[in-house]
Amino acid sequence: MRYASIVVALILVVVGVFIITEAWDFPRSRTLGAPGPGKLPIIYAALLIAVSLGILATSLVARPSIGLSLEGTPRALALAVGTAVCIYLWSMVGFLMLFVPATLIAARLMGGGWGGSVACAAVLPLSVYGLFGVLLNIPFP
Amino acid sequence: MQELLIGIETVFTVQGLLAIVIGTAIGIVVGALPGLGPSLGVALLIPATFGLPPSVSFNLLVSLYIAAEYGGSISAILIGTPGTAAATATVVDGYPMNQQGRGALALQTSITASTIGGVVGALSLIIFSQPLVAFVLRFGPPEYFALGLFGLTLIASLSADSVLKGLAAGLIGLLIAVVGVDPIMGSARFTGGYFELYEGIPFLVVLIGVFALAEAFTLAERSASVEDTGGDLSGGKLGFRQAVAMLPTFLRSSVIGTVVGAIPGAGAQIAGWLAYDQERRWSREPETFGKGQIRGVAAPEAANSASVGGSLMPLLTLGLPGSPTTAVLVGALIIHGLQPGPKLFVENPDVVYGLFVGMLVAFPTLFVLAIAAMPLWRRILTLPNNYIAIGIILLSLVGTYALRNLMFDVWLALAFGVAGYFLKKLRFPMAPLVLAMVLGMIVEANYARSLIMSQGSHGIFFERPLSLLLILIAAAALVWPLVAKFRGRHRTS
Repeated sequence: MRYASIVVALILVVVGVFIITEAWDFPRSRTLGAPGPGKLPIIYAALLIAVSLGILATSLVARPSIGLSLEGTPRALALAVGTAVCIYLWSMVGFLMLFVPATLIAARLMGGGWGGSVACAAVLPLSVYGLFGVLLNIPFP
Repeated sequence: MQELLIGIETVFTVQGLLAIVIGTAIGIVVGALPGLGPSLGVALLIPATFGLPPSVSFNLLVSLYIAAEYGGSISAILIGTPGTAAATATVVDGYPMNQQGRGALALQTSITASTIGGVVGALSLIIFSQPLVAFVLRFGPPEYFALGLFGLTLIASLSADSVLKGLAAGLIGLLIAVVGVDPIMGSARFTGGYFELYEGIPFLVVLIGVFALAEAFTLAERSASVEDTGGDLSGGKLGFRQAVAMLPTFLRSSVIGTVVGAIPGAGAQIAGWLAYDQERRWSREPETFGKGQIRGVAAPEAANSASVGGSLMPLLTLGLPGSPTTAVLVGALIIHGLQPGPKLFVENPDVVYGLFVGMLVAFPTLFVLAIAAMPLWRRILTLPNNYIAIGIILLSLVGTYALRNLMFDVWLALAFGVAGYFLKKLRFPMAPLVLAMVLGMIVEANYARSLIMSQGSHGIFFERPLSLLLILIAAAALVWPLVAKFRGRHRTS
């Protein structure tokens, strides 16, 4: 957990610095008294850097706490990657054609039995399609 | 009275009543399943309300919120795991009651307390919001800026165990809120050349990402469902006399819940624990608490349901969300083209008074549905995580797409989902991020307006008494948790 917090704090510092350098070049305000478009982003980013340095310092100084558990993370990431693939294919294949088999595969890979997975693949995409595509008339890609 | 008639007209239609019943039914399930909760439920349901009138949509979402706060007690009693943070105090006596074969009695006490608490909270909202609105209508941009600042100080109270991580999440939310064209000069900020970002990053996209998708990925870590720990649901039931005898508990806890709920940042969880603690102090047999004492279930449940009415008070009157779920509700109002705050009472009375009447209908509906569906709870609680995760992902993808019909938003939600998943793993709380995003918009617009009014002088925030008072309260709210922590450490050492 300690090293992960340090890495995140460093990433946030980099983000803060990037925002300040970007916002510095924003045009100055032409309305009397009004703050320019970069003023608040610079303040927020400076505070983010300060807080991130605080996280960094406390992570370095603090006693080791409960470790970061990565158990199950590969499953979660696999699901995220699968979701990304589905988003990519959605407009090419169509919602039901894509998500019925994708749900079946995902449910099986995640440890579901055949019966439950088939029921899940039949019920979930159809219900979502029925709600948004039919009832709410959302034009699906 | 005239306004309440508008509310009655809004609610007592087929669509209005159906919205309440559906919202309540979904809310109970969402609340009962550990890991989900009202914020996620409301965020996922917002896209389904696009085609509905705002008054009906808001009733649907608030019914879900109400029912989810109750639903948390079902898993707290039956499996010893609170479905929502609000039900943590309910576990202490609810679970032992179930183990003693008094699960049905605990569940009936919980729903009775929730119904009474909820009605008390709703009535308080109806009675006290009008005078508060009359006061708030005097606010100008400096006061709204100060109010936004006060709201931001709540981040410390929503930060769970790490204030620094909570502050970092809040600042990330503020930075997300500045993406897009700035409100005064119209300059594009941090859009990376994507025209889809010119209007800013949609609030719903962030919500669905950090609440729904991140939670789905977390659920996917474990394939198993929660363990059914048994217990008998055919045991004794809550009789009318027993319910009447517990009326003082219900009312006392309801008042605590309403007051605590109205304090931005306090929330249902604190309300539940406070009511539980008070009930133990008032009890003639305090030693029975923690061992299956029925009043130990009644008190927190009445309080956390009453806190819903309380929490809607700052939202409706000030436009200030004091909790993650009310921040999501603010987002829902904005998506429907409404401006949260006192003007809502004048410009959209159907939404406000429809909500008042809707809440009074929602709690009895909750009572009927919860009692009728009691035999189903065990089955729902044993739903495997993987099916729930897949369902959440499907709803999230389609819901995000439905917002603007842009695949760009779906990719953005996925990015927020993955980022939210990792941030949650590192114990960065997500509630401050969402709250800051909402408040960031209020702060920036009113900061600019105030400075234009004063021709650039920051003195305007300190010259107006109300603004000064709010800034002082904000400063105190910011400093107090740090002082309390320091004092706590000092005492321990």
